[in-house]
Amino acid sequence: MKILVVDDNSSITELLAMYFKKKGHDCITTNDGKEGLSLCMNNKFDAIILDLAMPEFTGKDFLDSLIQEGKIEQQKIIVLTAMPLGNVKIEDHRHGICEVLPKPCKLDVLMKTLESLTVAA
Amino acid sequence: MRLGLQIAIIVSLFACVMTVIGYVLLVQWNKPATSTTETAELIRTSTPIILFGIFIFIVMAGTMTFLIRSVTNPVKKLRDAADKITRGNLDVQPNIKGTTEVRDLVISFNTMVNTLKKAKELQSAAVAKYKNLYENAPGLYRTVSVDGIIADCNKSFAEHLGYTVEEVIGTHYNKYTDPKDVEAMTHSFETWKLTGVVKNIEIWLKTKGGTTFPTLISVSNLYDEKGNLIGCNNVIRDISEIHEARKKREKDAIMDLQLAEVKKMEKLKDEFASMMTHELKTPLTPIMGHCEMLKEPGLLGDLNQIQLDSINKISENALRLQRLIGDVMLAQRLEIGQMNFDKQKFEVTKLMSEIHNDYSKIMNEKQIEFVNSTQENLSLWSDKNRVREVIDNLIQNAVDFTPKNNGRIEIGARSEDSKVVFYVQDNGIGIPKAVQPTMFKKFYQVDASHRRKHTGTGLGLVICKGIVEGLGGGIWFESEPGKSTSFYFSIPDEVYWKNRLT
Repeated sequence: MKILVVDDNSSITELLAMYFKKKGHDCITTNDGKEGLSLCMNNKFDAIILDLAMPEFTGKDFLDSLIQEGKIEQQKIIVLTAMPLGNVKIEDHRHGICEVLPKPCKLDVLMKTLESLTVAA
Repeated sequence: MRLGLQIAIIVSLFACVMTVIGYVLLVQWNKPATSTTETAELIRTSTPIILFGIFIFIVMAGTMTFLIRSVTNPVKKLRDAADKITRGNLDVQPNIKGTTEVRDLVISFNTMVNTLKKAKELQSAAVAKYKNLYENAPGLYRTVSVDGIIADCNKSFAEHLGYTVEEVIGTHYNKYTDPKDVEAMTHSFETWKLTGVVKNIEIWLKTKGGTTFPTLISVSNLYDEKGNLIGCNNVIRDISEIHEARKKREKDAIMDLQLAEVKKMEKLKDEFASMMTHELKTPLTPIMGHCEMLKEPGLLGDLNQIQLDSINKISENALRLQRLIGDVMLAQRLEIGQMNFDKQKFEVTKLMSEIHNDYSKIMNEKQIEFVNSTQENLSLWSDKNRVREVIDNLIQNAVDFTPKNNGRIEIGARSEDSKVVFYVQDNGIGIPKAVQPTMFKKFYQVDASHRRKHTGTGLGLVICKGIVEGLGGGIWFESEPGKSTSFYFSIPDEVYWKNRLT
């Protein structure tokens, strides 16, 4: 599986990169939303793990740009956020988002979610 | 008969007689004087005529005198009556007989007197009314002469200040002024003396007993006949109530400002807390993630038992921290009304069985008798997960405060009107009466010693209350210290209400 992790917190991107690699997957990470967007445009990922509360270019901006480019439908996105789930307003992006998970999230739960996404596809 | 006609007839008669006499005299006179005998003859013949003339004159004079007196007498009487009226006696009713003119005059005179009498009566009534008003009016009135002496005052004024009217009259106006306002009062009085004008002034007065009160004094001037200013009437209004109201309004305004400030601070605090909890949560992801990786056999290399125990301790505490942050966030959101509810129809009876099953193992381990006494088949339109959260919290509390041996916890639900009432009962230590009112306040546990034994955040009941009230219900408890505690909460069935409203 080829996974993109977009999160401004490097501890999280490092953790996930380490975990996914140990689990035998290909993982690319970035701490910058814009960079994440261009990576996403130029590469095909099996899944994207996206943080919402990022400085400057937020997760919402990331999703908006994908919608504008008309590429949202092709993506399988897991939103990983520390915000209260009730506060995550993602109605506009529902069609692109496959799952919303709270931080902190158990790694095996995240892994199972990823596997279920790719199986469904 | 009219006086003019009478006089005309008399004068004509007189004129006739005089003509006759004149004629006779002329005839006699024109005869040439012949001798002394003739003269004597003339005198002899003239004598009766002269006598007749004298007689006529006397008759005329008598008649005239009578006529004139018949006019002057009534006039004199009228003059006397007028004099009496001038002296203030309006009860004069001259009954004078006389000629038509005189009678007309008397009638007019009497009408005038009557009108005057009526006017005087009206005036006396008005004066009495005014005097009555002045003396008995609830307002405080005093009359002050230009030299500053109180010439008169009403009962209200005297009594309000603790004196009698007699005590007040003749004293200086500043005797009743609050010492702190004497200067202002004197200034106002001196200005009035010069200009005759005083705007309504606010002056504090002082009673005999020494208490002071605020008043509003207005002035109306009094003048003598020549138009000189001789004094003034003061209308004094006790404005204690207005003063109080004004003071209260000022205080209210300050309080409103403070309240707005507090609200602003509260909002800032909420926003800060919400940001802080979010920030606190973020580092938990790598902490817990790394623990999870270390614990997974073979992933990062095998750990020995001591290392594994260590990792487990880190994990457990990270989990506790996560729960604590979660509770704080939840309480925060409930407080600022940010909680979203996801309502749908669910089977209450099924939920209670699920809960019973989920806890059976733990209750067995803790040797607590755990009973679900739900009997009806119930369903609700509400937020199932939040309802479960409340029950979880209450069960957690019950477990924490139930004795080690012979512990018993009973849960259940029953319908009541259009609501479902849930309950969690235990036979634990109970809640002391003194602290019962503060149970649903933030960060409260029965006492510090319990907090050491029981590892709650102290937010459980706050969260329960927030959720239950957010779902339109209520939460309460009954507790017998040392014996038992029962928590109840009601959740209204929204479908029921929707049907009733439509």
